[in-house]
Amino acid sequence: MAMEMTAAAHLGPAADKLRLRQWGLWLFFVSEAFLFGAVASSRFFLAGLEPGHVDQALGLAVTSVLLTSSLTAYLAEAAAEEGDRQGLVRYLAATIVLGLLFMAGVGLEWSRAHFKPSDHFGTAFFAMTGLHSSHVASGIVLLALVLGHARAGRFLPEGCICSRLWPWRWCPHPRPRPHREQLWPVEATVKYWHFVDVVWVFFYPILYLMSWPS
Amino acid sequence: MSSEGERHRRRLFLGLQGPRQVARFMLAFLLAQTVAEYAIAQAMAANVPLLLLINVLEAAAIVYYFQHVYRLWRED
Repeated sequence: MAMEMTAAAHLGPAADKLRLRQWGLWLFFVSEAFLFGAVASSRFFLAGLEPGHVDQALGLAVTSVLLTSSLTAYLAEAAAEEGDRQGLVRYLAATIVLGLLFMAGVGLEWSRAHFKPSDHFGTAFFAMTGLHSSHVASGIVLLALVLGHARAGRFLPEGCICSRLWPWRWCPHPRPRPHREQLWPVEATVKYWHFVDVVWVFFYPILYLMSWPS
Repeated sequence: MSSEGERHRRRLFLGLQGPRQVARFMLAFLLAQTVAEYAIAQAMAANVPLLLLINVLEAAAIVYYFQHVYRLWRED
């Protein structure tokens, strides 16, 4: 630990700033986890462990879509770290589309729900999915902002001249890799998206799958 | 300090190395976990402990491989 601290000191103020930002983001996640945990506990308090009358196929579909979006978000970050601007833009756009699909799926579930918001299970269901969807929506807005900046060439330098000369964009030269500090907006947004995904990993079984015979 | 290139070659838990390997592993892992928890829920009435275990594993994999939580205390 002491060696790592010493190494961080050698990296200078930029690395320290990045480390502080990372810790700040994780503390934000922890505080958000308490909020989501409190809302999730309301499901057990209000409706116990009785399974709700939800559309299982739709639940599985939206979960698969959100998990896939986490994979594309990861690939976007990996592309950014490798200096691949096209990959970053492509995977960010895919993540946004999958996020919108997830929200459409939740909207469909809301419109077809066999329970009311005033029911015990309904209160928990609408509160949990509503709170989560608001986070998904804010994640999509953040991803769209990052996508706009990435397309404008803010995070990564322009590609080699070869990629503009050749029609098939082939270039034999290695891409210049950006510094971690430059990629902080990409990293933070993608981490936030993964956090939203982790929350759904717990919300999905709590709302759709869990049961315990009384 | 390692170079930016070395960061991608750093070996992670389970010996995974590089974004492509991680992506392939996570795709298979998340797919298997999601199908498993769905199947368990359809087959078992008292499924809470098993589902909880699966969710914790799934969340831990996302936090480690996708959110790179190890970067908080390891220089990359």
